[in-house]
Amino acid sequence: MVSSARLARILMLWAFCMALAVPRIALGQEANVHGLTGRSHVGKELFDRYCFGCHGPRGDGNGMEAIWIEPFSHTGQGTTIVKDKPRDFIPAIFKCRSTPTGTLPTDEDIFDAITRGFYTTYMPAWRALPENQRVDLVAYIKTFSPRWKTEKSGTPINIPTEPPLTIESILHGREVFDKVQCWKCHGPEGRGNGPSAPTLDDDFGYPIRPYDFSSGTRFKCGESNRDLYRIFMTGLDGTPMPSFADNIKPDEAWDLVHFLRTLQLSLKSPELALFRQWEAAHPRQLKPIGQP
Amino acid sequence: MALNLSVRRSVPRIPGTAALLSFALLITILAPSPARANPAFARKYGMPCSGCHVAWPLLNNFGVVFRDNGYQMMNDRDSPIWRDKSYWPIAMYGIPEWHRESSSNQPEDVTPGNGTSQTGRRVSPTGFDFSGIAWWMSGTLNKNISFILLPTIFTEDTNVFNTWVVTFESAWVRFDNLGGSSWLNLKMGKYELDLPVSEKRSLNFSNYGGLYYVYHFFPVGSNPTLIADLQGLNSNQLGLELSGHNANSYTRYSLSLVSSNAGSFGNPYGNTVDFYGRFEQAWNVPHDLGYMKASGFTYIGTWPTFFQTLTQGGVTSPIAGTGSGNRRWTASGASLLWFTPKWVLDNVYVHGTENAYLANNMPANGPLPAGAKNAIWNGGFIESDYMYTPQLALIGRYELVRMAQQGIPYGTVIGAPQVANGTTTINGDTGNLDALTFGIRWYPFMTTWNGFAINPEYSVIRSRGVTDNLFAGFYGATYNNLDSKSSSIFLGLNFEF
Repeated sequence: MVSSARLARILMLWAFCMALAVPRIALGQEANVHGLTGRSHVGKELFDRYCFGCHGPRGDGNGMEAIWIEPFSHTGQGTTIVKDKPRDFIPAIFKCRSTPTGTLPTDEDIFDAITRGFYTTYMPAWRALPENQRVDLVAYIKTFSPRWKTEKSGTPINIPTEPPLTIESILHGREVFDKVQCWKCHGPEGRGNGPSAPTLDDDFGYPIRPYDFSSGTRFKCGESNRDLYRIFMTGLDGTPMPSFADNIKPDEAWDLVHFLRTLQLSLKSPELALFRQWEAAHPRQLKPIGQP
Repeated sequence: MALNLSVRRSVPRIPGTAALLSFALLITILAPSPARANPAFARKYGMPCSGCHVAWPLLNNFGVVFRDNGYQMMNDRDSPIWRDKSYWPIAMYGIPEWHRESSSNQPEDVTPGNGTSQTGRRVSPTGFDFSGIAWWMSGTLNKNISFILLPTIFTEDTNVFNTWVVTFESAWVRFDNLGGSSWLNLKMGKYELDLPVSEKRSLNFSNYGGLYYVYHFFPVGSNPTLIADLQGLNSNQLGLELSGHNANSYTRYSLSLVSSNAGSFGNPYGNTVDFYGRFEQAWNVPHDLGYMKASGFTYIGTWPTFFQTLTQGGVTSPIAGTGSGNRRWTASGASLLWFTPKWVLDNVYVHGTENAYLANNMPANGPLPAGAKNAIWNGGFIESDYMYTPQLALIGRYELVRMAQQGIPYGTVIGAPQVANGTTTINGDTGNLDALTFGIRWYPFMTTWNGFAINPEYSVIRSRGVTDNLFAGFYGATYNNLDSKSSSIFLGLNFEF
């Protein structure tokens, strides 16, 4: 049997381990999301456990796995897919933001990206981590770039309430799609095969493909209509996808959202159903996109 | 005609050499299987080991979610069609090791070769060794169809000329996210039950320390095939599992129906079905102190007490699959696990019961001895895994099992009479055990391709009334009425690629 004295020693050892496990005094960068305060020194331990393989110990996107993540890869079935390189945190350029183009994202933007992951890349969803650990990671990510010391996060753009879905809204959105030349990159049918598509590079010099709406996969920065609205009003910084905040009015933006949903052929959205119903009743009435 | 296979209240005396061999056999058979972590997944997804493991093979919650999702990240990289065709979902494991096992009160001839006079002495085999190899083939056959095929190669023979055996520890296919819901997943084949703390993912690997005894325990004198083949909760079973979980696996359930055949292929025992179920709920702990998981579980099993037989050439043998006189055994319990960023504390409690026929090793078509009862026991363990860094783990565990009610009437003498020490008389504490384990696991490097750990460890176990300790009443147990103390000193090089 184990004596009580020995048990006491075991318990003391556990108590010692617990003391080591208690977080130390906070130092460095902080982040605040959902009322939680993240601390960078805790985030560093998490980063060194979960993230260093791709993003690298210095956060420059050059982890040991990065060389295997090519910008393009062939599946062997004649299809080319995009594998985004791991994010380099040093320039603090983030695609998914609620803030205007060129500004730093909010803590919540980075938190959401960690939580959601990027469906079409190797970046998984990290919702398995407790919320406070994800906030700690945000705090640590902010230590990689000096921009966080000299700049403040941008102010999130205002997203008005989504208007009711109507066929008029979809058809007007189609006109907007044509007018602002989304088709040049995304293609007339939204398949990511516009005339400019083969020439596109991101800010880091890697080839990049426009989003293929027909694939039906989630958008890079969310799934909802609000997310889609935000994407083209803020732009995806570091990519050729610009912000259209200066080119499109809010009501036009919602119309464009409604139309873009009709391009996601594999999703049974109400927008697609309404559009198909209208198309069946009005065959060959629409002017082809991308033609004068 | 029915035959009681195992009514042997007085077994032949074990000569000294045979006792040593049986001890070594016990050690070998019970040697923990290699770690369950899969660098093939790391290669597939470009994740370091520490992404899914607190310290491999112990899973963290991200690893649990990955496993619960059918070895999928739930992005568009899960289906095999996204992989280069040169990728194979295979990983291999092995542990070259040095170890010293030591067990007290081993019966031994006073004069070698002369069994008329025996005494009890400590036996301490020491030397270099090898654990065996596990090939883990696992992954996705298609989006939302996952699989495992896990052959293991190990020795089960302690003769000079070792016999290496290949067996399938796991072999299953799982349909994941049925109807698009993570709450419906269906698995069929041979698989590990959804235990609160997986023994196959233990950070300890020594012979006495690499086991959670409460998962294996059966009382002294129980049906030996039940003890030897089923090994309680820990045995991988053949059956069907329905399971589900929420997005972060904080809420999980698992319901299994398994054949009462101890995971043996060919249905050698009975035709009954056992049930296992577990429900788990987790929650975050404020102030960066991680999360906790609480669960309740129960196994309701049956086991035959006699078989139909066939006599040929004067030899009577049981007919496989004709097990009858089934009687119930159960193991139920609760767990509370606490995962902080640097420290894991596991608490598991198990309450076991066994029908009086099984506990007395009697056929259910005959009478029980006067005073026979159902056996009842309680056990549990506390384990602390402290992660100094993701590459250095300090491990400590204390475990105990206590008999609450013996199935065999008190005062009954069982086992072979030992010249030196007599035989075991069943008392209230016969079979009780305490075990203590300390270890370190150091991962000199951490990559996304393979794994390597250096693993020094010490473990000690003490049990009442029987020698050879492991699972009191197990294979080589000697009923000599003496307490015994056994220990392992272990240094292993655990590699995976």
